Amino acid sequence: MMKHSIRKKQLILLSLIFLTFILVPISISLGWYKASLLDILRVLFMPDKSPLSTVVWDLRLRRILAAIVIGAILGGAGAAIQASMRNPLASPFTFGLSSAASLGVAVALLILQGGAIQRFQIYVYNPFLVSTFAFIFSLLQVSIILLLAYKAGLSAGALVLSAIAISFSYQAILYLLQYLYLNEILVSTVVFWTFGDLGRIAWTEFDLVALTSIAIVFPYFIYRSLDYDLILSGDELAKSSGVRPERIRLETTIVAALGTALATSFVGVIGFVCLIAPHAARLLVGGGHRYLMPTSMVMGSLILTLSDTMGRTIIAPTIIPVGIMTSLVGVPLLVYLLIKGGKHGHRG
Amino acid sequence: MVIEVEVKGVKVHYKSVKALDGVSLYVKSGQILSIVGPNGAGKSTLLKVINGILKPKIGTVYLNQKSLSEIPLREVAKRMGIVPQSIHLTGMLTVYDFVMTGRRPYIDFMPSKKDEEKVYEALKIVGAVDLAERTLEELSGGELQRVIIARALAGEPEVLLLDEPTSNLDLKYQIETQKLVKSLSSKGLITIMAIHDLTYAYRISDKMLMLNKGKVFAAGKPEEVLTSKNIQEVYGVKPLIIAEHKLVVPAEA
Repeated sequence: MMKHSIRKKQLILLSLIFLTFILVPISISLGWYKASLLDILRVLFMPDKSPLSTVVWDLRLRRILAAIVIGAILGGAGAAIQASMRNPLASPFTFGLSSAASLGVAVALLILQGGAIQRFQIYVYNPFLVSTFAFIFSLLQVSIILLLAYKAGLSAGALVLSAIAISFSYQAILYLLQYLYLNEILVSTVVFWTFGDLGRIAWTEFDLVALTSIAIVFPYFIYRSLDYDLILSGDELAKSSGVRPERIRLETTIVAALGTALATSFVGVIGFVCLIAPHAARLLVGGGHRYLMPTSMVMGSLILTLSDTMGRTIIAPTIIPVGIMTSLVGVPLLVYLLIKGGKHGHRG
Repeated sequence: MVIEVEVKGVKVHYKSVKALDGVSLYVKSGQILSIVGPNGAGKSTLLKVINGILKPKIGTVYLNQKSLSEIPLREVAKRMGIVPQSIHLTGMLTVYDFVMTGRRPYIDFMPSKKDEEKVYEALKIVGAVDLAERTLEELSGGELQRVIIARALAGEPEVLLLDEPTSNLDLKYQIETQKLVKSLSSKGLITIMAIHDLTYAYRISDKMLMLNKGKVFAAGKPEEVLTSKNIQEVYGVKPLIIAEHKLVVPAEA
């Protein structure tokens, strides 16, 4: 009976991975530049100097690979933080990393005093500085969270509440900055930046995100799977099994923040994936993190790739940023999953 | 090999409250020790101290004459299994996944075949194999209690610590748990339990420790500890004790 169930979970996970791989060429073939699936596969394996090859390699493939990697980061980070905090609402998003990053962008633009939108593209004179500020502000928010947790000794529940409250204050400061200092173009740039857009990422930035995730983020989350199961059942039970829950909470927050902050600083705010992916994965493979963690990662990749593909095709040639798509699709999906989960006795 | 647990002069303070004040005890392989006493006497605190998850301010816990503070946390976890009074029920964890967490001290990365076998054996011992795929949220109080015991057993402990093991159980499962604990102790396991139910403690224990306000009020065999005078003094209630049935109930209804 147990073997049957484990096999079922393995099958679900493999199917989702397979689905994601299938989605890559399909997604590449969709968009304003029409091409057949066969042509796409041809230039994927044999790149040439044709316009199609340029579209595939320079535009679409990069954003789809970014969707897969960043989706997996968000899905994994969501599952890990929800478990380590024992709170289904905890995620990098609710921890205020995104609003902190947005504030960082506004500050960077103020210092740079320059930026514009040209042909629906953000044009910032120094994109690297903008990303750096987004990253630094995300890390600042993480430090505040950690200080609250370890110095002020807040419980996991109070921590999530205060993180949400702090993110509101970031928003207030952002509005104040926009009101006082930024001109119309800069306000538009900041707003535009907050609509996460995978098309923004460059190959070198993608390499950095992918390397960090493959070397640190993904292995850490997978390695801690059993510990997340333990912490879910209680800190004392975890301690009695030789595991230090405070240490794991600290490490998890840092690793999740590192991955999310890095991704957010390059592509902007992508909401809800870190909340939806773990909930959806939990309904498919249950709560044990041995399967939940990888499933949640793949689910994140799948949701982000699908959202991006939809965003590129619904009103082509206009591309709807993926951050808007995930929120549009994500909210009803999340409510549906929670209702469905409730019917299955899921209280967490 | 004989296993011994010894507690010497343990003191634990919660701010100004003395939770444990100079408590000592000794128990060895195959013995069942019950810790009794009114609410707030320090029973659960003592279990946590023995388990090493709460460090005493003064005093030492010895496992086979070695101080617990000198034994790595993971090693202690391998040798002691705890059954807490309650656990958090979140996240749709299945019984199988939960019992597998009992194997954590043995697992470095992923559970092995042996870990899976031990989980199955533990579930079999408590008669919960058919519950393996259910989520913890779906279980009744009695089923959950058996599963929590299975989790502790999956870690192949030498010392089993139980905090109020009968609190969620109906009469049938109380008797079954009693049989289970007896059979485990006959195989050499040390069982230490914090318990309110004096009749249950009377029937199951080899030794008893009565705590009051963090101090040892009485210690010895159950019939020596559960005297009318002791109970009246510690609980403030006049008991009716029927020794031939090992029954302790309040004299007044």
